[in-house]
Parts: sequence; C-alpha cells; structure tokens
Amino acid sequence: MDYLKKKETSKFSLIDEIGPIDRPIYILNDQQGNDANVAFQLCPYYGGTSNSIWQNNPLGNRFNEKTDVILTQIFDDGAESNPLFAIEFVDALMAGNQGWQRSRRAIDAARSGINYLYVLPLIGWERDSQGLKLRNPRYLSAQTALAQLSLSSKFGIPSLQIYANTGWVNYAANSGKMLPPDYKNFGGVENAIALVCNWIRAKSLAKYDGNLLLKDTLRKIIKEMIGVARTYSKFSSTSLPIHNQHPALSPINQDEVCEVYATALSESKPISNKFALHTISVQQFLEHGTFYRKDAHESTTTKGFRDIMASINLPTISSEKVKSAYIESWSNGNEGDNEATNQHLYPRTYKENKSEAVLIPNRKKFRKLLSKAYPNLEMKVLDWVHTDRNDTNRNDQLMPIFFVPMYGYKPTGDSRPDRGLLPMLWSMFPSLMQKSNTLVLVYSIHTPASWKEIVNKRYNELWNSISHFAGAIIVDKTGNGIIGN
Amino acid sequence: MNTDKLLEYIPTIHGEHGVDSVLHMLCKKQKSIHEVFSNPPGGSWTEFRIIHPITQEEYSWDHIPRDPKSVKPDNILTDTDAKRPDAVFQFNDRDHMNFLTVESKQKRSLYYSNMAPGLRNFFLSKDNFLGMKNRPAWLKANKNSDFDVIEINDPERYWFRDYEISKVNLWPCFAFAPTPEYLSDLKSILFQKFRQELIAILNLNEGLDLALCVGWHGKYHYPFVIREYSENFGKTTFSKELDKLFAPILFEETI
Repeated sequence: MDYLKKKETSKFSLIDEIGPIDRPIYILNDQQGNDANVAFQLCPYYGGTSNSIWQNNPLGNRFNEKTDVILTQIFDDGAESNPLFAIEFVDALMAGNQGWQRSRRAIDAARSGINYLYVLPLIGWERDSQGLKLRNPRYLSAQTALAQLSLSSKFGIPSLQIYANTGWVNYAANSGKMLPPDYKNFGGVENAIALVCNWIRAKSLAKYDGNLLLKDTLRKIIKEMIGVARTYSKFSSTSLPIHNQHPALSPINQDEVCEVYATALSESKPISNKFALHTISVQQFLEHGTFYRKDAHESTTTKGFRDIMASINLPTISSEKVKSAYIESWSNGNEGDNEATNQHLYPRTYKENKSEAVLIPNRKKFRKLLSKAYPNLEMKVLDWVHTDRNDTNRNDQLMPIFFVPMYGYKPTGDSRPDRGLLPMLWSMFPSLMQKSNTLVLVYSIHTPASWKEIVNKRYNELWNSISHFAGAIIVDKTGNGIIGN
Repeated sequence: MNTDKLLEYIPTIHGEHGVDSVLHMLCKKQKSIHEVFSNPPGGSWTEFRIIHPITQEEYSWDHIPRDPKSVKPDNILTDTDAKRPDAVFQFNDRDHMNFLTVESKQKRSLYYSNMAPGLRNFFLSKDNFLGMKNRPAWLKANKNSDFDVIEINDPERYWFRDYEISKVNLWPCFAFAPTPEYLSDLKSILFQKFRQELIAILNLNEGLDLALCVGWHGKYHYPFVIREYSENFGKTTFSKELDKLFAPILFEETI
C-alpha cells in the first residue's frame, strides 16, 4: 500500500479508507484509468501455507513458503483470481547462505506463472554481535541475480530483483567499496512501483495499453540485475566463469539483452536465443567450468566424507603437475584415452574457490568413491550413480552427476537458508540439474538419525526441498541413502 | 463501488498476528506516538527507529539480532534474560522518553514468568545480550527522510546510551486475544470477565505495566481493545495519549 500511496509514481490517489482498522479497505482513484476507482483490502497475515485462514488460499498449490505480499483480485461473485504478483521484502544481510534462502519462493512463483519481485538492499554492512563495530560490507549475490534472470528466461515470467537504496550505499561509495556501475541511477523502489501499478491496471481496466511503460521498466530492471551479476561475479571468491563468458553478460550485448528480456517478459514468452540463461548445457558447463573446492572440517564430517571431498577437490595450491595428476585420477584408465578425452571426465563447478555444487562426469569413479566412503550404502543408490552391469547404452546416456554436498543442520536444528540452496542451483542450471542426475549429500553431524522418516512424513521444509530436487540422497552421519520418488 | 465482497473477506482466526496488526495500524492513524519497531507486515524484523526527545531527530539501529542469545527455548526466562518484543512504541514527554514494549500472544494462557524483566532487559541488559540502550545508532534521518550512516567515530552514535537513565521509562505490556477471540455482538461481551483477566495479570506483580485484550466483533470482525494499566502508568501523560490511540476501538463498559 505504501507503493500505491506514492501518488507521483503510482498515479493512484487515496480517496477513502473503510472497514476494520486492522484489515482496511483503501479506495484509490486511478488517474491513469479514466478516474476509475479501485479498492484494495489489506489482509495482514496468511496462516499456514497449506491450512489457510482465508476462504481462498492464495498460497495453496503454488507456494511452499509464504511470500511477504501477494495481490489477488476479488470478482463480483466473490471468486478470487490467481495472484497478480508476489513480492518478497528483505532487509537481512546477504551474508553467506542468506542470499539464497528465499530462492524457493522465486521458483514457485515462476512455475505458477506469477510475477515476482525480490526487494533487497543494494548493500549491507555486517557488525559484531553487539552492534558496536563494523565488520565487512555484505555485497549482493551474483548467483541469486543470475538465478532469477534464468527463471525469467525459462518461464517468460518476470522474476526480478529490486535494489533498495539505504544509507549504506553512500557509505560504501565513500569507502571505496564496489558498487554496480551506474548505481546512482538505479530506479530501486520506483521501478517496483511502476511495475506493480502496471500489472494492477492491466487487470483492473477494460482497456489499458501499458506495454511501452512495462517494457521500459523491465528494461531498466534487467539492466540493473545484469549490472549486479557482472559486478559481483568478479570477486575471486564469487567468480562465475561459465556465466562470465555467457553472451547475456557481455557488456557489448547489454542493450540488446535488456531489449530481448524486456520484450519476452512483456509478452510472457521464454527466451530462446543465445541470450537464454536457462539453457546452459552440460557441454558448456564442462567447457567453461572450473576446478572444484569445498571445505570438509574434521569437527563436522566423517572420514568417509572427507575422503570423497579429497578426491573431488583440487588442492588449493596446485602446480600444473598436480592438476595433471588430478585430471588423470579421474580418467577411466582405458588404453588410448588421451588428455582430451580425460578433460571431460574430471569434476567441474561454476564458481571459483569454494562452491556449492559440482558436476561429476565420471559416474563410475564416483560410485567407487561413495562405496568406499559408505560401506553400508544401499546398493540401489550406488546403482543409481553407476551400474556395474555391462549396460553401456544406459551409461552413455546418463548425464553427469550434479552433486550437492549440503551442510543442512546446525546444533539447533535445520539450517533455514539451506532450504533455498537447491532451488537456487536449479534456477541457475535447469537444463542440466534434473532429478535423474542430482545427488545431495547432507553432511552435518547434527543431521538426525531419523532423517528417512522425516523425508517420508514431509513435515520439514529442508527435507521437502531436498526431496523435490534430488534423485538420490545420502546422509554422511548415517552412511545410508535413498532414491527419490 | 460494491466493497461488500471485500468486507466479507474475513479470516477464520486472527490470533497473535491479528493483535500485532491492530496495534500497528492504530499507531499509523496518529502522530503523537511513534512506532519504534513492529513485526511485519508494516515493520521490519531487524530495525529499530528511535526519536531523540530534544532534537526530534530520528535514528536507526539496523540489523538488530532476531533473538537475543540468552533467551531459552519455550520462552522460559530468568529475570536476567532479554526478550525481544513484538512491538515497541515511543512517546516523548518533553525530555522524558517512554517506551511501550509489547509481547503479544494468541491467548492469555501463553503468558510466562519474567516477561516484563525480559522486555526491559532487551533495552537495558549489559550481560549476555547488549540491550538497545547500550548499542550505538548507525543511521540518522536526513531532511529527505532517508537515512545516512553516522560516522564511526562520531559520539552522536551513543546518544541513547548516554541519555540519563532516569529519563528513560520502559513500560512492559502483555497483549493477547481473548478466548473466544470473536464475539458476534459486543453487547454480549463479558466485559468484566476479560477485564478481570487483565487485572489478574497485572496483579501478578511481575513488573507488567499494561495488559491489553484485543478481540473482534460484529459481522465484519471489527477489532476492539480492553486495557488495564498499572497505577504508575495510569498517572502518566503517555497513558492519556495511549487512550487516544485506542479510542477508535476502545471498549469500556458503560454503567
């Protein structure tokens, strides 16, 4: 409602407020709609996602998690429309895995054909626990920006980020911290207001030609998201080599990319040309991806897990000799294999330094690693990874394993941000991360021994998220696993 | 325009969220009491905004931890634990700052011991959790109502910490929905029953200064509030202003 009440941008004028004070109905005059009046009622809470307290459940069968805002239309007969849009507001620091915590909402919106805005600060600053000292700036996540661009590309439905200006933006600029180019001209919340008002008018007015304004606003937002993605994928710890060479992120193509995305989203059409971010293939991943590294601490993992990671990780300090040995270790050991052949067998990831997921082409070797690390691992899980049966047709057709080692649990319970990890990864790579090739290994020693029961009972959103995306699940602590449905 | 369909759009349960929403929306309707903090919708999980009583300037404490580390599970608090409130409202009476710190619950039976000390400690604690009064502000509103970062070495950041404690009044409040939370007709309200519940809470002598009962009535579920104040709070100008805030929905039994 604060968006709509900004009359200069929204062109809606508040003329009355009726109804209960906690669920008011605002009557607004639409200055762009031939002075038509529109009524908006604030319903300030949902109830649960599955057990709504309202006569219609705007979340039901669409969202696994509650978004902050959903707008629906009530018709004269009392029926309720599908949501016009959903908005998520965040003021938390984008530290660590916070960035992807809400990714599931973005996917749910895109899959349901619902326009989605994620409003977050352009930059934040971490403090110590007592709020006395500043620590480091917390930059936006290039991954989540790319994930949402990819969703937009795949579904033709806007999944957009809005960057809110805060006092920390000027502070960051004055401190020489990196901000996206042209950040001073970012539209921020004004873009969001323009968009939501356009979507409202498209539904509420019999005739509304807002396409030009819609495209213009989409163009601005896409440009900002690409700017964020490009800027924050340049850090050594977050460099994304596959995306950095993608035509959609090339500065030369910027105007064209923005035009293509704005047109597609205004027409609700997926992107199908070279700028499509959702079509990154296995070949592109292997060709442009980089070596994988992930920490495995003795205090939180088993020896078996650490052995697996030691084989998948490229050592931090790597000479060419070490790299060659690593690549060789992933060969199939067949006579006649040459380096070129072996190049496509060693694990690759999408992010320099520490990464959340890795593509493992050599499923045969990976099966051996798992079998040795977890002697009691179910045969069906091992066969899912690679069958020892002489079935070369099947093995040849199998995609590389998309392997996600996930921490998942702190001592106090499951890690809420990790619920969004798999959704974010799928958003970034929907063409190559499928149930048939995604294996999740939950490695925290705090993982409950009753995890299989939790999966079956479906009352825990972390496991629901894992079950949804993973074709196979292994738990490090217990050394057992399951095949997904 | 027929808005009846919207008016008929009523939740099956209001609960704690309804209590929070009522208080938040009441505050938005007036200007003498300032909302420092509330849970969404309309508020932020992590930001407190306090107005300096002399300069009238607004300061922001952002990224406040969501849960003080010292709070035990199941809300079992000791008298030294800090408890994050669900809402905080500020009234400046000349150079005296008054903070109404609210813990809201779906029902009366969810009251727990040491609620009032917990709400106070959220501001004053120096132990496991550094209370709000001891934390520096990071941002200050400018003329455009945007916020700018205050320089790290600027002592202005610590104005709240350094403000005379005798001029900072904390008024812990327990707000809950009655059982049942909805009444078809206010005339049938068991006013005295609800009022006695509020008095009983204050009579626990555990440091609460206000008890609020927020319910709903009528065809379209209009909210009502019944309130009881401690003797001390009832003497303050803040209590008069608070009654003005509640006035649109305040229910007082007429004799």
